[in-house]
Amino acid sequence: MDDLEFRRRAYAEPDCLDQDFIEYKNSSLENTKFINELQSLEDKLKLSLHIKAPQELIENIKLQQTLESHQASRKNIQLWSIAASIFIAVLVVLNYPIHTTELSSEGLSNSVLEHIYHELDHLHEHQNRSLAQVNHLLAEFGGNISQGLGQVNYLGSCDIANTQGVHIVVQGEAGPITVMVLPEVNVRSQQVIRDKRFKGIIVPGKKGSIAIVGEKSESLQALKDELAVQFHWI
Amino acid sequence: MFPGNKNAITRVLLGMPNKQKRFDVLLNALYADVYRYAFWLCKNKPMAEDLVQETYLRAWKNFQNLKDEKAAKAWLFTIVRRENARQYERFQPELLDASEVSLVDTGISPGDNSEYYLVQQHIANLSIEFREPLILQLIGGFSAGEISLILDVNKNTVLTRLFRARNKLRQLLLGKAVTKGVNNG
Repeated sequence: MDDLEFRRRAYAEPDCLDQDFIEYKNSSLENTKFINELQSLEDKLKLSLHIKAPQELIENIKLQQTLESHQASRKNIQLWSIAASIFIAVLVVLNYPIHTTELSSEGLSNSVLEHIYHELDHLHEHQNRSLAQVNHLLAEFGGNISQGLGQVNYLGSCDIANTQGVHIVVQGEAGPITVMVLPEVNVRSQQVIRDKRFKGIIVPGKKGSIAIVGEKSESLQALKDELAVQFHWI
Repeated sequence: MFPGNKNAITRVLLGMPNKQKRFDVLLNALYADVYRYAFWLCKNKPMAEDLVQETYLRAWKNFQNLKDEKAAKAWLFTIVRRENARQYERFQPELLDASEVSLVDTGISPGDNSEYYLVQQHIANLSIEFREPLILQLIGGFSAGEISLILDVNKNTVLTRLFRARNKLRQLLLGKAVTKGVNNG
């Protein structure tokens, strides 16, 4: 270690306990004095940052959380009532199948494509994200990937299809592939996405869906199979 | 097709009372630091209170996503950060200069000539690029590695920004000390 490195580390982490740092600090009176000055500054910074948190805030948070729980419970009761009504209705109309899934799947597919077109720039980014960074974001949305997806060029959260989800772009063979993790967006079966430029699939999961979209010439099967093994809802 | 996480399912099945207790523990233990982080991020008391309320509401709704309660602080701070970014995109508030910073709730007034008030002003005047790693370190107690994950930058960038933040603050405070010494003769 030299003086420059010592000062750089001291300013960045004055409480550093690394052995080499401590030894260098103790190696001269000047170094020890310097660290003592920085510790004094550190104490002032900590005391200055330690402002009082308003007590009424914690009460408001508890109240808000209680209201949210009550609303969720009431919503559950209402949902059960609706479910019971639907069950009875289904018994009555069983001979008259109604195709609603195609409309809803078309809506979701269109939302995914609209989002990709709206954010086309992301297909050309080169952020080079690590697996840890991907999982750090996925954790907020209830997901995790055990192993890498290859080269991750873009990572972000977005509003997609009336929900908050994770927008990832990975490098495919024919070009960039968009992967959208959509928590609480449920589809009954795998949906196809197709237009003049892109093709893709929406895959249902336990707590949401995943959309995988690439250029028309891209083979998506390998990535789909990889995600089936490596992606988990948590 | 996508295997679920059995531990998460088990936790959900434990039911509301357990979730409530765990949430209350996190709330009581961490809300003050979460507030401090929010305040020094946005430098505005009412906005900080909104951020904290929104953060805890999201935390309650997504509580099942918290796998390890040792990571709770980082998880909450990350939610604050995202909410602050969303609010900023929505409202695009004018940049506040030092005189507009709402520091009155600290209980220290400018009239005191208190050194802490000066330090607070200097911290508030740091650009967000340098202020945020510093407050994550001092309020959150996070290491440089943890800060790099929260801010989504590499560790060396974090260390450089911490260096520059402290270096600047030290220069500013030393400058004040020299000026005082000169004035006092």
